[in-house]
Amino acid sequence: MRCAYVAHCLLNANAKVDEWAPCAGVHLPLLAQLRDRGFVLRQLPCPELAFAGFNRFWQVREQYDTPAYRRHCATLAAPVAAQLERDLRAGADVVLIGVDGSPSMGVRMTVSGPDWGGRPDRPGDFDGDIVPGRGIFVEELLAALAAREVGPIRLTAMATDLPGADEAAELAAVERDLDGARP
Amino acid sequence: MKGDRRSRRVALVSDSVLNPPPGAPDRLGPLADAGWGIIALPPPGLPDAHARAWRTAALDQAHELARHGLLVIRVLDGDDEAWLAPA
Repeated sequence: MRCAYVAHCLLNANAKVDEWAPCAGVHLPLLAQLRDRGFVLRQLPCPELAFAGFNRFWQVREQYDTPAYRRHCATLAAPVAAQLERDLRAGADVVLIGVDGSPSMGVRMTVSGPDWGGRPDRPGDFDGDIVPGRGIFVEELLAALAAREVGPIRLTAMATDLPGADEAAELAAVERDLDGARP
Repeated sequence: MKGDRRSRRVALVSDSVLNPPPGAPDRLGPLADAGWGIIALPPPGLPDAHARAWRTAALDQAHELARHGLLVIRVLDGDDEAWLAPA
């Protein structure tokens, strides 16, 4: 069995911050890739939607990196980690598909801006940098897996939150990761 | 930034919609093709406490979207309908 734990917004773009949705709802090319390969799908929660709401605006990792938000992410990650452990112990090949550039769901890249506080009166003015690192929910989920002493799992990401991301290139990269060797 | 492409339509779905059993109709494909986003409930077999936590998180997200005027529908199987039904 192959299982894909997919970032919430890749199956529900309505959870995205205004102006950052890559599609209307489900990311159709990614869904096709996963279905063509026979992956069982698991949808991850969107920690930002539940915490900061639908009308939140774009934030950087530093703004979310608070004890309360980490507890929130850990709470959301707990049942996911339990299911992930079940899948792994059943012998599944598991891949997590995050969103690079996201403060919460980044796998390889996240967004940082130590001085960014948010200036909603100046839309388009965004003082953040894309930096190597994981998002906070991904960190908490991996910590929950480590505590259960299960894993490792394969990690990949779409880069829908990276400026200038090339969707075709991203899909090709994810495809390579999906077909790669088990860790 | 890419403009607002969100459909403002979301389906709360059972795991059997996300992962149709062999021979079952594909309910996810038509929803996805029509622009619906989905919020999936947990797969069967999780211990009760974890299943409850997963469902609660899914409902929190659905409520937050509905609160802002997004259309939220349910495409659920019996067990999930029963769980959501008022006591």
